[in-house]
Amino acid sequence: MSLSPSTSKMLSLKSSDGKVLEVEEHVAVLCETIKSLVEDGCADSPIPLANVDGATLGNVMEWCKKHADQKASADDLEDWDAEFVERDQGELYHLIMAANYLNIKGLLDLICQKVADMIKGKHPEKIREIFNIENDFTPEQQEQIRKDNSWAFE
Amino acid sequence: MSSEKDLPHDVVIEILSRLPVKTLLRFRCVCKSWYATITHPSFITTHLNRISSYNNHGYLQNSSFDPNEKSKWFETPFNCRPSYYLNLVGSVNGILCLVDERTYFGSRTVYLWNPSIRKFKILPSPSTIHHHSNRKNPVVFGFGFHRWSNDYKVHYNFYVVETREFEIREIGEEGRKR
Repeated sequence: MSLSPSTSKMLSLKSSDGKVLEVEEHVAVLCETIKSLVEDGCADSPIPLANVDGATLGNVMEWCKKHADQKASADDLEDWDAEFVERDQGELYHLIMAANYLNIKGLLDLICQKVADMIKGKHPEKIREIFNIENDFTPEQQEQIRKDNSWAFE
Repeated sequence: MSSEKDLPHDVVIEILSRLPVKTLLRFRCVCKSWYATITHPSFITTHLNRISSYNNHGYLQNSSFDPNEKSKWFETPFNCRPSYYLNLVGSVNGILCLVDERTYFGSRTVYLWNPSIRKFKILPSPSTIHHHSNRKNPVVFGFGFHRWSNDYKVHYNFYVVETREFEIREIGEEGRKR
């Protein structure tokens, strides 16, 4: 099956909130999940994407379109990506979930690196707040972990 | 970040595996699930592979070198002075194996040291060296990583002139004769 831009047809993608997005096939197949559907001949429109809302789907397809562009140089993509991830935590969360669900390794790598850079060196308390995690250690256990690697908390 | 639901476990691993060691040691106390993830051997391997794929600015120099060159000094966390008795057996995946060449009643102290987490381990002193080692029968140490068992091994080898036997033994286990 040829997926080159010249023969690319349009695919309809339907988001969880019912929005339909028309995307060129060679762009949409950057999502491995969609690529499998196309290859299996199950990509009859519109493809329902129950876990991705319309706004996030728009952002994801914007990324795919840029990365499907054969003319974009590596430097160009790097600069573009750096700008693309300048978003608030909520948007990054939805992008990570979508990239994971649609199986887009490049986008997942990009956002995970962005989140890692954001949380690097932060206090555990701040991390619990960002990720909405409950502290299930007793104060004694917590103290023991700190004591084992006290230099890491300096 | 996750106001509606938690991030999937494999995504958490993707994020954590991109963090420096110091941050990971700190994040061990975020919650039990993160502690279990960060201390799990498979995560440590994932982290090591990722870090070594794009980190090539650290290297180790064993002997004499120009102090003006870019280098990093580490202070040993264990008491071993004077330090010129300390010999580097080898290094694998950022773990150093050192041996204190001073002998006490024939046995030597072997250290495994991971400077990035500032932890070290003293290996059980090979007592058999006591019986064989002397000027005539030198002991040679070796350090390596065993991929199948995902474990680090320290061997010591010596040739016993009197019996014409060459022995390779693994520290911590009963040796086998060759």
